[in-house]
Parts: sequence; C-alpha cells; structure tokens
Amino acid sequence: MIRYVMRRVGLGVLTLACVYAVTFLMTVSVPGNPLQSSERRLAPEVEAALRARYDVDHNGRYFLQLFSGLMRLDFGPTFQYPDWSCNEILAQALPVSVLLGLSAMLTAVLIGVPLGAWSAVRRGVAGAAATTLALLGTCVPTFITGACLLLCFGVWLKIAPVGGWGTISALPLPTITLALPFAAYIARLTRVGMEEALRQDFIRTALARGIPERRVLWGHAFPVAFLPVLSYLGPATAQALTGSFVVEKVFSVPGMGQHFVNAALNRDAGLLIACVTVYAALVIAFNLAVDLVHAWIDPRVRGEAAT
Amino acid sequence: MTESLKDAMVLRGRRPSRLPGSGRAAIAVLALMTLAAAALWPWSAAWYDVQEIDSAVRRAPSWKPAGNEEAFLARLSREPVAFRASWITQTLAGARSLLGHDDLGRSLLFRLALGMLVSLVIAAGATATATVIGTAWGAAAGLCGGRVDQILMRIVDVLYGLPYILLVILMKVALTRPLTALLGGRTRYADLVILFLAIGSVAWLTMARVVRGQVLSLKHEGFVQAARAMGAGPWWILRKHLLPPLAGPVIVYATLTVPQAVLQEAFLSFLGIGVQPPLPSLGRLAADGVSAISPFSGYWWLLAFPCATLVALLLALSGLGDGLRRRFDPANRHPSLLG
Repeated sequence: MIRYVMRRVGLGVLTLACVYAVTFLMTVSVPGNPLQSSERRLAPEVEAALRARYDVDHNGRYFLQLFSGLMRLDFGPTFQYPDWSCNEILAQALPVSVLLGLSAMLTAVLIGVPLGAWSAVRRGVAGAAATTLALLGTCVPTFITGACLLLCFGVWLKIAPVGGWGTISALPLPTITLALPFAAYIARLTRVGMEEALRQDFIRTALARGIPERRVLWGHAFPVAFLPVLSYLGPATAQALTGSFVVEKVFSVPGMGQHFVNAALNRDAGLLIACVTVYAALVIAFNLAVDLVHAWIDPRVRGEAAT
Repeated sequence: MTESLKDAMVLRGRRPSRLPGSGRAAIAVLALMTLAAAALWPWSAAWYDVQEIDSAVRRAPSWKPAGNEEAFLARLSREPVAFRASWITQTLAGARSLLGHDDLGRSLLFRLALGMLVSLVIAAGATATATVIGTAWGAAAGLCGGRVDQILMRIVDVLYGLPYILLVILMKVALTRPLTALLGGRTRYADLVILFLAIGSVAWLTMARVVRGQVLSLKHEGFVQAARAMGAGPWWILRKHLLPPLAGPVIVYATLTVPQAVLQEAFLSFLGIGVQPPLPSLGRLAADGVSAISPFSGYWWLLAFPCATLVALLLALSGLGDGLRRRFDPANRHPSLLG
C-alpha cells in the first residue's frame, strides 16, 4: 500500500510539472504579450524597463524565474493588476471558489445518490424525477439555469440576493446552479450501478437466506453501486472547484473564474500560469485522494495499479 | 419481496432491435429544426444585422412588422430582383417582428435562424475535428501497444483531468493569431474555424479511449490474426479489418459529441470569447438575453426564445446520440441519459 501511495504521488507531481511546462509553452508561444496589448501605448523606455524586469525576451530565463518562484510557492507578479501579486489575488479568490465548489459537490451527492438509488428500485415517480433531473442537468446550460433561478428567487420572490458574495443567503443559488449537472450525472451513475448490482447472484442469495430486503438493498447492493460514483467524485469535485467560471459570472461571485478568463484574454502570462497551476494541482490532488480511497476500499485496484 | 425489486433484478437492459422511440422523436425534431433554419438561410444571412433603430428597439413580439420600413426596404432593394420579388421574401419581411427585436432593433427571428446554423456548423466542425484526432490517436495506441500505448493514453488521462473549458480557452488563445494570419482578411470565417478547432481539439478524449478499447479487442480476433498470418501489413489490417467494424462506435460517439460542442460554444460565447458580434450563435443570443434581464425590465422574449431553441436543440441531439448508443454500443456500459 505504501509503495502504491508513493507511486501515485510521484506520478501526480510529474503530471503537474508537465501541465506547468505545457501551459508555459502555450502562453509564451502565442504572439503578442501583455506589454503590447494594453490599451494605452507604453512609453518606449517604460516598456523596455518592464521587459527587462520580467525578462520577456528571454523565455528560458523567464521560465526559470517563474519556476524558482513556484518552488517557493510564489507565483510572481501579474501583468494586469500593477499593485497585486498573483499570490494576493489567489489568496482572495481561491477560498471563494473552493467554498462554492465543495458546497455544490455536497449538494450534488445529497441529491444525486438518493434519487439514483431510489429510481433504480422503484420506477414511477422516482424514475420520472431522475429522468427529468438528468435531462435538466445535461441539456440546460448552467447560465440559463442560473438566470432562471436568479429571476425567480432574487427578483420575483426576493428571498435571495441578486448576486454578490459574503452573506450566507448568497450561497444557495450559485450552489444549486453549479450542483445540477453533477447531481444529474451522479444520479445516472448510482441508478445504473444499483441496477447492475441487483442483478448479481449474491443479492439473490442474500434474499434467499431471508435477510430483510432493506438490509440487502442498503447493506449489500448499495456499497457495490457506490464505487463508480466514488471514482467520479474526484474529477467532478475538481471540475466543480475549477469549472465554475460561468456560475461565478452569472451570480457575480468573486472567485477564480473571472481572473482566469481575463488572464487568458489579456495574455497575462503570470496570472494565467498561476491559475492553471492551481487548477491542475487541485485536479491532481482530488483524483489522487479518490484513487487512494478506492484502493483502500477495494483491494483489487491496489493489485492492478501496482503491476 | 416487492414486485418492483423483482423487476429490477431480472435482466432489463436487453439491446433494443430498433432505435428507441425517444431517438426517433429526436431525429424528427432535429430534422424539422435544421430544415427550417436551412430553408431560412438566404434571408437570415441577409437580414440578421438589419437594425431598425427608431421604434423597434426591444420591441415585444407581435404580428405587425416593426417600425423602420424604409431602412428595411432600402436594405432589401440592394438585393437581386428575384430575391426581392419572391413571395417568401414578402412574407418573411412581414413576419420579422414575430419573435420581437433586440436592444439594437434587430429581428430576433432572423438572428435566431442564423444563430442556430452557426451553432450547428461549429458543432459539426468540432465533431469532425474530434473524430479525426480521436480515431487516429486511439487506433495508434491500440495498434502499437506497449510503451507507445502507455504514453499516448497517459497523455489522454492528464488531459481528461484538466477542466474542459480551461483547455478550450487555452486552445482558443493559442490558435487565434496563427489561424487569423493563415486565413487572411476573412476574419468572420477565421473566428468560426478557430472556435471549432479549439472545441474539437479538446473533445476527442472519449473518442480516443473508445477506439483504443475496440482496436485492442479486435486485434486478437481470428480474422485479424488470419490476415496477419497471410502477410498483411499494419496499414492493410487497419484499413480493411479494423476501421470498418470501428465505424459503429465512432458514429455513436461522434453523435454524442455534437451536443457537447453546442454546449461548449454556448459557454464560450457567454464568457465573451465565442462567436464575435454581430454574428449570432445560440449561445451568444442566450447570453445576450441573460444580460438583458434585470429587475427593472421585462424583455422576456430575448431570454425565452433563444433559451428554448438552445435547450430543444440540445435535448434532440442528446436524445439522438443516446438512442444510437443504446442501439449500437454492444457493451452498454455507460449510464444512459434516459435510464
């Protein structure tokens, strides 16, 4: 088990380094840089000074500078906000995105798992509810769901604030909006897993031995059905943490999304690389955590991955 | 034991012999929408940007055509005579206020008709890109095996882990300058091409996995072994023995990529990095509708019609893909949309 953990952590670090290098290459290989694309033309001497400061002309040295900063967990300056460093921006925006993403994931699990399991056992109302949720979650873009929720609860019923951040009452709407697609997929996974599990021989055996139906369902079938959900939770949580640009924009939540999009559009190499690195680290960390939990629960995984 | 539990225990997921009803309904809806948009194309392409400044700004849907008749007729008079004189032109000119007007006084009907085509073109291009890359990648990994396979699939794993939209944005940023230079002054087309290449160059991951799995299982089939024993080279085997049976799953996953691409385009347009104005797309129009809605305004048609069209299109496309998958995917491992 320890060897397995070490191996996975090593692979994760390697992947992160790859992502970092690729992002760097992609940002610097794009023609044009933030010093040129600013709206005001810079005075030549100012531009020269800035170029010298950031070593823009020598990509190799710039890479080393950034990379040595990264080793000290210092992402360096941004090109876009003169008075801010990347670390300060991240320190403000990251907790917001993490809170939103985690609460959305929790909501998605709390909605998706019971609905999926219920709809596998009972058709009828539960099946219809699960199907509706699946359709809504898959086919309605989040910015439309978000706008509709905002219109209903924020504008007409005046229960929730119309966007913004900082109070408890601002949390539910963006959380639900972000959670819906994930809840839909989790419901589908649980439902299929449950249906598959109920067809297995050990369920029939358990029922034949007279074990109460409820215990067979939740004690025997459900743990098997939950495994695919568990392995989906890793990438999904990472996606909820990082992929919330749209939701953040609809509800004007001051998270990472806006910074990332602006950095990509303004060629703010420093901030862009910082955002991608943080995203990738989150993704890798969550995948790793879920894989480890999986290996802990299911010994077969451990054996397979170790070979 | 309850009846429903008994029901759940028997083998329920037997493969249907025909496309399920939902899939056939989806094809009907899809054909109807696409044909309508395609039939309107000459008119929507000519008029989507005709601004009727005066009284038509944010005019609610109505049967009566909006205000600035002169601007519209002036625009119309520049068109060929046959176009001007046709009765369809006259009817459509009269119907241009049917879905209301946007904040610049442009007819939502024409913008919606063109926007749907733009969305479909981008989605089709993205799907084609994804299919080509994914099939080549997966086939290469499956055929070569060994170290090459491991490296190729490791790359897919890494890309899978990264947020989808993040890669699309990065690709778009990376592709914009070189492609604009390549395509010269036709910026409008360059925009569309960049957009579908960016979406397509990220959407091929699932395809690569599926194709690799199929190639791996096909490789050990008797007929492939026989061909190899008779001295067939890898290219011959790929072309004559592996690609034909791959066509089914590839088509199924390509169909499933289309709604994803439409959705990605909508997200990008919402974030302001998709289709550039004045060209409409469904995502762009829905995003405009979202920003037009505020506590003080009731411009519901700007949100309702684009969103309804977008959702209907996505539903039909996913229904079609799902139906095809249930019909053709032999393993049927993945959770189905409709349960």
